[in-house]
Amino acid sequence: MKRLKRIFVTALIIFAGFLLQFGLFANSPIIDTVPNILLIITVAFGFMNGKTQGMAVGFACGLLVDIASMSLVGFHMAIFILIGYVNGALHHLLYSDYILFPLIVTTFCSFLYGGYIYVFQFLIRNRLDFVYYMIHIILPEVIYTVVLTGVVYQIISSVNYRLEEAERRSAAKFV
Amino acid sequence: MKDKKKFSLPARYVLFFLMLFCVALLAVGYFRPGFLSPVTGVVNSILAPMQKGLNRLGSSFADTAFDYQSLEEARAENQQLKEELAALKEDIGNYQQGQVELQELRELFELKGQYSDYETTGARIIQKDAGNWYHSFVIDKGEEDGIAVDMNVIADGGLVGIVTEVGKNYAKVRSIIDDDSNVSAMSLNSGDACIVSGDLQLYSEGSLRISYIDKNDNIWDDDKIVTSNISDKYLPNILIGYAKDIQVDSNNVTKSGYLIPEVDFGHLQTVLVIKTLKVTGEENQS
Repeated sequence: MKRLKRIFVTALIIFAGFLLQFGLFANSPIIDTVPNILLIITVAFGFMNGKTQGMAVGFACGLLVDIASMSLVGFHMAIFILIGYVNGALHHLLYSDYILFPLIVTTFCSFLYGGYIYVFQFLIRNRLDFVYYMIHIILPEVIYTVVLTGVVYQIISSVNYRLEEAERRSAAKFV
Repeated sequence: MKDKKKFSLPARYVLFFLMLFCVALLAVGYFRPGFLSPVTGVVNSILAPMQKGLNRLGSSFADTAFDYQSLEEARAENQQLKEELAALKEDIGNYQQGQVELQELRELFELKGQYSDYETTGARIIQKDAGNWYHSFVIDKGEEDGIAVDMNVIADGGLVGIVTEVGKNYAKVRSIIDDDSNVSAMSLNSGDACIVSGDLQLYSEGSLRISYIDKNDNIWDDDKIVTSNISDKYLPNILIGYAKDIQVDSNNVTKSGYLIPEVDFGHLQTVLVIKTLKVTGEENQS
């Protein structure tokens, strides 16, 4: 029951993030660069709840991106799952309560994501000017994403806290 | 917690299997294009109306941010005028090309007219690609409105792109500025062939790349570049843009340069889809 609730809430967060990223930001006439909200969500869940959840959330996010964009299914999924896993591995090493750590981790993952796309979509087609792509595409995306992390991570963190609280309460009831 | 222990698999194995799964999916998608499209199609059909709504929401947010009633009205009018202008521009283009063609026809008797007035349908862009790497977008018309894969998309009297995927109520369009796009083109004046390809790096400067021009061909700066007769997918004589900085390559065999597109890709909101598909010889033979 409580597990169902967690899955439902997580799915809702992912879906909301997806709609924000693809519907609102991508079409906004004001913002040029689209922040990678689904990446933040994957990082947050991996970081707060460990490898398994990180990978599960990464799987869902990657699948959504693959389906909604025109790429082959599996391409974004792989990197999202990997990011979920890496963050899950950091779960035990770093405090997830401080906002500083998630910010650093998101920055790192954003660069990783940008690099992954550059290598597999551009470098293999002989587009060698990495510095250009770095400055004009990866860097702005990283900055927007990191700025938004401050907000999104807090929201997810408080939702996660409430879920844990509810789970603990119901567990106590049974014991 | 208890049931978790029963089938606990170390996370790194899970990761390994998931990666294998991804690679398998990629392989399926690559070798059997369209194999997964029933699934993706259904999901996208569900998502399309939501995106449409959100898009409206986004636009209305932007509008209220400016908060001028008159501005909004002016915008609506501007939109309408733009659409009209696009249609008119296309007409003019058609007439101009008609003129050129008339001359050709006078010279060469009995050559059949290559193009007539194409049937078009207007569509609104409801989603742009969320990443910052690609230049493709989704329009709000699909199979139900008679859209099919490989239909050409135009706006402002110039070529925008081509339909690459069609769902029930949406269609995906790859624009010619996409890094992956190559269009077989020619100069309207001389009829000499070239390739127009998109380049992410060049696009920020507002241009595309023209290449594979024979050194002796007559393509010069400010020439009108249109889609070529010999293209598989693009209808002939649709205006793409104007040539710029054409120079002989270092190999001394070909020339290349830049192209300023006719369409303002930064402010694209509505497009026209040409419902006529290019008929190639291959299909006739088979």
